[in-house]
Amino acid sequence: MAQAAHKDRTLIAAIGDEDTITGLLLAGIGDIDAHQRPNFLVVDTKTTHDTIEEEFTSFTQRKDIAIILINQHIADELRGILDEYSAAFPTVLEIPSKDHPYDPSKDSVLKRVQLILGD
Amino acid sequence: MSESTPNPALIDGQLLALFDCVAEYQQLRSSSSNLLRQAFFDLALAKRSAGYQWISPDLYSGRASAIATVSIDEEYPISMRVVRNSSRINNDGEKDQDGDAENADGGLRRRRRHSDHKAEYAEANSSGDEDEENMPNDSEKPDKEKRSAAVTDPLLWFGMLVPPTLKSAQSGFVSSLDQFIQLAQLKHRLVQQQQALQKVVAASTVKHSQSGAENLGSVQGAQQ
Repeated sequence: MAQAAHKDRTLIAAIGDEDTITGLLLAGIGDIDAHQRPNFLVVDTKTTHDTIEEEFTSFTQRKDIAIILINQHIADELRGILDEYSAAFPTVLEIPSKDHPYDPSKDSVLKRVQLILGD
Repeated sequence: MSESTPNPALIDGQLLALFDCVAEYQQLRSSSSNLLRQAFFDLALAKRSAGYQWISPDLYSGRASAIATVSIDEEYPISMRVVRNSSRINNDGEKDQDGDAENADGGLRRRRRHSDHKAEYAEANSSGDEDEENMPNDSEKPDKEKRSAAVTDPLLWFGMLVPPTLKSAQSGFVSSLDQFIQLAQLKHRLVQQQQALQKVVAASTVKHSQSGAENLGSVQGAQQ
């Protein structure tokens, strides 16, 4: 059953800049599985778009991840993929970073509400 | 048509529920952003005092497992909550000041009496095994299990004597994470509300177009 499958989803994955990942690791989300796959990706200036996209896709395909936290400015680079992503789990949530505060106009959840209300 | 007439009050009700949900979402967004901003500030202070190379994800262990996980309950509405596997970090993110890794046993820690220390010291001397000196008297757990419990606090990866600002940063990130989980839950609720509203509006549109066509037919009949 789908419900039983979702019960196995317990991890919180994160894609973000160094400070965001450090903080989330301090909060205790960090996990490295038996295949040495971490559930987080530190994005810096050297990280390519392909790496981010590949990692995001692998997180969405993993059966043990319930939530993917992604910095809003990094999510902007994956906007096309995020707009198409409609699965309930893993839930993708955009979060602010140190250098890029939360911008409601870029929030995909609020954008969807605006679309429904016809604004 | 077998579909029942959509009630305008039903649409209003769905719309109000959606607006309530959006308001709650925005409030939680603002609150989590403020918490996160303070946590980033504390982290920056900690980095400044401890050294920029000492606090980074590179120091995280390759054998670590998550201590903050999510439990999903898929009964309508979907609910999610954070489950913390470590007893060493309470809700405020405070860690006990005695950083002795050998004393963490996963439950409530009992402060040892002076007589216990003396007895242990005598025992250690008699056996000649120095490792047993630090073992608590009342514990019967294997050493390996205790060690795995001891490494659960991520703060320990950054050293034993971490700056107080790093502890407050941890506290801020723990609280932020709780709010992120609530936001993810709210996102699910919003999607469900939107789907419900779309259903009601679609039914209403069909009914309106049907009644509009009937009205048009009757007007045309009257004109003829």
